[in-house]
Amino acid sequence: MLLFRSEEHARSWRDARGFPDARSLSLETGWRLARAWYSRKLDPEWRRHTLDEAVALFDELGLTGDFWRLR
Amino acid sequence: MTDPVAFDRDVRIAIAECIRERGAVPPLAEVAARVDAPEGEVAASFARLAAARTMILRPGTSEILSFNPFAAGATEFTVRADGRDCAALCAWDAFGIAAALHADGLVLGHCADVCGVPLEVRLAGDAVGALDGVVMQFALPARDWWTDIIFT
Repeated sequence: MLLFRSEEHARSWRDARGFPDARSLSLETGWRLARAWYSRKLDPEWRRHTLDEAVALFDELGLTGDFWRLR
Repeated sequence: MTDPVAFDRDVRIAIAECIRERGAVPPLAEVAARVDAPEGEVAASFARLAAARTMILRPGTSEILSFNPFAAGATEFTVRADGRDCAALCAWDAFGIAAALHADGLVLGHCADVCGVPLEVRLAGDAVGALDGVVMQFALPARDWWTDIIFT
């Protein structure tokens, strides 16, 4: 995942690189996603999210539709 | 014979301890010393942890490329958090470093488009601070992320 100065720059990059289906998201959503995904990574009892948990998280963050489909 | 599940847990915890202590992903030799095991056994554990997507190995080696979200070595994304500078392979991981350290963070990166302008993102509690309009972008759909996790 990359950072872009604006949605316009993100669109320019995906057009130039041939990734027409790329999806941008707000920094706020990215931060919520990162916190939910990684906040326990250094804990001894860490475990990977199950597929169901990941799907529920994406739904909660509004990351829905074919691009965000995990199964 | 050592239980591989328990051994892999010990290896994972040793890696996490190194990161907590100094913000750096350790080399295999250091992990082997920490868990007091031969490097070959730790390399096998690394391979299992990578297969389980707990981390990514440097291609063709038994060294860690990224104990996600923490990358080994310099990358395009630096995160200042908890009094140290850490590296991340991507913006999501950069944000994830502050999350994993439970600390506020300053992400230093740049626009991936041709302008390449430096970008800073401040993460503090629930708040995110950056220039107006800055966005993140996934190139590949979620189901393909692990097909090329470094690029995604």
